[in-house]
Amino acid sequence: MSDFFKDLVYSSEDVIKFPSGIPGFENNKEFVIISIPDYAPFEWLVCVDGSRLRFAIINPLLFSPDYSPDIKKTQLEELRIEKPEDILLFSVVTIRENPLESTANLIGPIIINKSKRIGKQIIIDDDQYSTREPILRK
Amino acid sequence: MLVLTRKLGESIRIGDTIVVKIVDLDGRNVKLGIEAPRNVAVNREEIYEKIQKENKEASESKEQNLENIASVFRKADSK
Repeated sequence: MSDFFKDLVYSSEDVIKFPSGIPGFENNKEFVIISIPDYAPFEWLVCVDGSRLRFAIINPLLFSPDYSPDIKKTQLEELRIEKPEDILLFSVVTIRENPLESTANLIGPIIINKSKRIGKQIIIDDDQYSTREPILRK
Repeated sequence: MLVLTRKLGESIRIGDTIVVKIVDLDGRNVKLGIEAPRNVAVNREEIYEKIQKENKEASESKEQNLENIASVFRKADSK
């Protein structure tokens, strides 16, 4: 198993700044998204500060097409979004020991402004979603 | 921790910009009104803690296992 996180090649334009970090990792502020065919449609959000922190992510609409989190305008201000096409939506994936039981966090979607390269994990105050939504439906 | 006693309708102020008001009292529930600058996130503590906890778990996920779920996912998707 190659450790692709170790010798990661990326350009500085690929870096996405998370000004507030991510809850639990408030000091890790710079990430890149790594797409590898073996893992598609999952991708990796990899921190580039040498901490080896990384998260598997997925577009939640791929397994939960009705997902429409109620995000308040004020929550997006930090992202300075000018047009909807700039928005990327991801959920953080927790891979379980039995991979088929892996879950995605729908309460804390990650929103990225891809043209300004700014990202943030938004907290959805809505009990209809959970932090552990099964990814594979039975 | 600073502990203050407040009556219904009274407020506390945090710094220059945040005001927390007791809007309603009902048995064991207190309804709070919060005025804060737009860039200050206001969340129920337990939700914030849940996200922190899940992020910690997600960060410890083993990448080998993702290959499995990815291939199952792609197969299910192509059906």
